[in-house]
Amino acid sequence: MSRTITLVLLSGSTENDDAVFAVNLSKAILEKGGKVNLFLYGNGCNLANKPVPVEGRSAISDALRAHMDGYVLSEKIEELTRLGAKIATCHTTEYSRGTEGCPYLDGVERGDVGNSYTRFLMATDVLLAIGN
Amino acid sequence: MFSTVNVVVRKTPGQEPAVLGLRAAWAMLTNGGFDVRLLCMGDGVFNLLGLPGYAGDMLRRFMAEGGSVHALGTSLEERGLSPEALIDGVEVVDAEEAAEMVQDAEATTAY
Amino acid sequence: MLLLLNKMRKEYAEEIRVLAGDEDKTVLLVGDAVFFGLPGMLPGLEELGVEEFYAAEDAVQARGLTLDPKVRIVDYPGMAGLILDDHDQVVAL
Repeated sequence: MSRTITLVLLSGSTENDDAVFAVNLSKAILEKGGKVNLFLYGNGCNLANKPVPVEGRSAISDALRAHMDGYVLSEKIEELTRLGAKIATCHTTEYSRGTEGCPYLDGVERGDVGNSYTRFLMATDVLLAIGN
Repeated sequence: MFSTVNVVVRKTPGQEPAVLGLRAAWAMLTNGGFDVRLLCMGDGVFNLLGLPGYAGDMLRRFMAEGGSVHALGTSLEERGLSPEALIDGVEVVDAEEAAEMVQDAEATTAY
Repeated sequence: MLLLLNKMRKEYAEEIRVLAGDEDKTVLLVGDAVFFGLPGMLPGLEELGVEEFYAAEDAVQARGLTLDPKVRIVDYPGMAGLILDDHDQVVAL
């Protein structure tokens, strides 16, 4: 398999299963030899940033923490970039969310729909927009 | 390599995906050089009533640059909208025509 | 045509009817859309002309569901193959 998919992710972490699906699908495609472009758009842009944990352990029950951990994707996203995925954000959607200047996960690029997204499309076989 | 892409907008103007779809359509047309067809269906037809501000300007510029804009006829009827209520340049299509748009494009994205 | 459904949206019926037309239709159900694969829900997709049904294994398991036997449960490598290799057209709704 050497085909390329561009995924436009409109959903952020936790609001539904879209982000988990997109990340897991991307990994499966990369492991099968395909190429992945992931454009983090709308709420998807909130996946781009390095997490900022609280000092000490926050007051979340073990059961709830285990549930929420399923939506924590920062390490998986960095793994995707190590596997060769190209991941870019729409900085405009970051701007309106107040995160435009926040540090990015390793390998994630600050981008925009006019350049990053259209560049992704230049060699894409399948284009999907996933979100609400 | 794509040459023709459909962008389907299904959401009302107040929902972010509607603007995201418009912006993506604009970018693909002007920066990517693709043939881009914008199809508004369902509540997405409300984007075609002449919006003030950024979204309305974006739509008008999209058409001025050669992008085509389509509205699903049944979506208009279900919402009591006549084609005359839409901004100039919108083509009203039926289901068969919409399906043809999908069939003869390399990609169809839905917002 | 492969249609990727990820929510329980009532608008899907119209969207599938309009956008997929007379094309041969396969659905891949992910996220909450796996509920469409329940025995009582599947006829709704069949009436739209959908002939093949797949559902994401992780979503089915997370919801503790037993889907209609016509629905094939698929893992991520399987979904990767469906999306990238098996269909000329893939549309996410």
